[in-house]
Amino acid sequence: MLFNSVSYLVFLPFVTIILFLVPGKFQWLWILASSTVFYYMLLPQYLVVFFALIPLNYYLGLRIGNAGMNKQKVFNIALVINLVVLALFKYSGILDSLFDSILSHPRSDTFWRIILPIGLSYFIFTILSYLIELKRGTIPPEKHIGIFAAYLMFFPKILQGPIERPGKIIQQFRGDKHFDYDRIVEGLKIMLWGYFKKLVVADRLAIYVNAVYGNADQHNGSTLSVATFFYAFQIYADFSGYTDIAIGSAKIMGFELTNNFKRPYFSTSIKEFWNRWHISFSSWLRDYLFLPLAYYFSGKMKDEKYLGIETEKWIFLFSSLITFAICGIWHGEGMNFLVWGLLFGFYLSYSNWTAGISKNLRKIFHISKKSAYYTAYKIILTFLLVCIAFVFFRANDLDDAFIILRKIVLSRGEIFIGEWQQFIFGICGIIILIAAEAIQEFSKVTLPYKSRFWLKEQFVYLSLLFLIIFIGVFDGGQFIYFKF
Amino acid sequence: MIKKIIINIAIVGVVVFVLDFAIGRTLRYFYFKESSGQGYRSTFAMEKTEAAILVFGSSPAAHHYIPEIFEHSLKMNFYNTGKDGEGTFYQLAVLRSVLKRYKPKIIIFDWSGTFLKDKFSYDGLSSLLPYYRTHPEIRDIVEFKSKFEKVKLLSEIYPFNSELLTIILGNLNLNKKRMPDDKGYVALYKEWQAKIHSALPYNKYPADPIKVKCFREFIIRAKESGAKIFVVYSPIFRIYTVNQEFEICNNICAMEKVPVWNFTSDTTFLKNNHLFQDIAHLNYKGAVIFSKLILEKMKRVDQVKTSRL
Repeated sequence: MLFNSVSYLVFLPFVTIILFLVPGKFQWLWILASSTVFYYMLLPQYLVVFFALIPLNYYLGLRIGNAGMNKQKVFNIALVINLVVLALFKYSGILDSLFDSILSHPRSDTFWRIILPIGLSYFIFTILSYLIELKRGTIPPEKHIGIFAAYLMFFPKILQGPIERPGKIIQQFRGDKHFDYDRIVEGLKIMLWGYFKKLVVADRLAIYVNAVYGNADQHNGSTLSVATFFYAFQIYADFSGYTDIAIGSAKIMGFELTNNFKRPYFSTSIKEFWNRWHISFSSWLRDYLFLPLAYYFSGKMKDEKYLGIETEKWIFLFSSLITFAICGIWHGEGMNFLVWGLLFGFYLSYSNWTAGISKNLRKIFHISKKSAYYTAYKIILTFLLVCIAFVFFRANDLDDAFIILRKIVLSRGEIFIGEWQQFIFGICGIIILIAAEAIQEFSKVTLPYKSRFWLKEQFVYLSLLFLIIFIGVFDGGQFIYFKF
Repeated sequence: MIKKIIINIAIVGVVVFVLDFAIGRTLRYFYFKESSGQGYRSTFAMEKTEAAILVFGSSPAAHHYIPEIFEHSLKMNFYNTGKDGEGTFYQLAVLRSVLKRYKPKIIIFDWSGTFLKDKFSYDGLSSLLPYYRTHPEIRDIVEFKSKFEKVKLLSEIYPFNSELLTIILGNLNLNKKRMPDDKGYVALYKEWQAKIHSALPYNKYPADPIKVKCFREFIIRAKESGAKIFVVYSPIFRIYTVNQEFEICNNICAMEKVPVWNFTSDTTFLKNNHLFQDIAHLNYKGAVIFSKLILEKMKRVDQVKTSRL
């Protein structure tokens, strides 16, 4: 079941009403049952994978929690099992090609071709964060297998996150969820904003972006620049829209999920961008990959400097490049994803290495770090760097990405508009999105929007609702991040 | 507390209903008042035309058949119902609406669609949404769009989703200046510069049974109406080898004994890029030649029939 389907608009109220009627100690059972139905309606054949991993990790979790001296060994086994399962599904394309080359001809049957079950990545990342926290001793093992299963399968987050840390959410499955009018209204408002982002902005821009990127060889650099600019907003609106719907749905039922986005296009540096973009994933990478790597390198590199450069900078470089290379590979098996990841690793390292030079230059030219012009310059620069990286993310492969970048730099011409209405509605969507985010960024307004004036607040939400009905795309497809 | 909740829900419900009704009805009024543009042409085709010769199809139909050439020679009035980006679903819906009102004498079905089960074709049904309420004969076609279409259509605004700018332009008559049409025909004037390429080899695919059924229904309905029906594959600036679309189409037409004229490999066009605006569309010069060729073929069929009699 997709969030942007009519079925979901029937499913969510039904599940919520029954949840409030079920006694508190059995609510986990209802959540687990409804989450199973939610996934069953999307990809029934893959439920078995999820339900095989749940008892296995439940058992391994208990073992880690009680293993004493053997903790590391059990943890390593658990880690390998989960990563192998993920890799098996995630890189099945490579396995398929390998089988085809062994058989020396492509197999015509699709039965044995493995596809990545939607949400498996997020499911396994959630499991890994549970196991890591257990190993670190920050949480006790969950003894109730039903609650453990409900925590992993919880339908608002199963398909595309947020990747919830166990300490924050598992306890929420024990509490008694009851009807709370204000909380439900707040959840609905967050969902409405999410639907606006998905239906009005993301799916509208997708029409233009797909038309251009689908035939990149036939378009000039000007058109490809516009498509890349649109794509930056498409993927943001798509992903953050999904998160808002997930957070709003969970809130209606009485759960608090982590916010995944904090207006990333207002970042003044790439570092800040990653602190605002896909937060649950980037903090996962930081805590479970980057910091352990940095710790490992600092143990190995004992000298103060290497090649005349401080060791800290080398450690930052190696840790960032490895972390983002893995981040890239996680997104897909194509080389373009690896380059996308490495590019961000490079951006971060470059900024880290040249921080001193930037500071000196600002001093020489008397530029205040807090100046509005400087902030605007940094926001635009960061956005452009992100857009360049997105070319690798959106292109079909690495060759395509380089061709597109070359065209963007060298070839100019008339901008392809396509269906002019789509173009205008797309731009309108971007303007509304930027304006709403700018208000939140530079004032004290928070999401969901509240006003002292009841009528004004209702007008804003009614306008959002009617904009969705008016110019939303109801034929749009699934969310971009499902494939990851 | 409960009282407050019920009052709030009631207020929101009433406001949403009233606004949806008022805005939707206003949009409906202005949509059907359009005097130019694609929406206007759809309305005209479904509700007003009484032309003896009708052309059906997607963008090639809309840009390839010049009314004047047919009207002048056959002494019958002509309307081109071709619409950019539309497939068999739209064409069948228009035919059903037309046949409800009158029986045309000649139907030219310019086939350039696909029988592949693709989302795009079903999304294209959006253009029929404004007619759902007033045209019961097309409802089952519109409902192919999704199983929840009936529910969505409870909203008065929904049928006019994303149509606001079109409605404004259609009412301001700006379309007449931007892209004027002559009885549904929209002329193109640019010339295609690139060289001819071969089409990618076709992979066999399972045909969408709904599309095949609709195509067959179109042919049968047109035939049963007593009109002469011709199926045409318009010229295209690309070299084809095998085309599954044509195979399915040919089989159905052969079964129903409907003539099929394939211009995709006609060298008059394949050797002359200057007759095209782009790969799939003839420009005005090309459309003149093509319309005359079709006219000649139609006359020849008539002569053969007369001589047989």
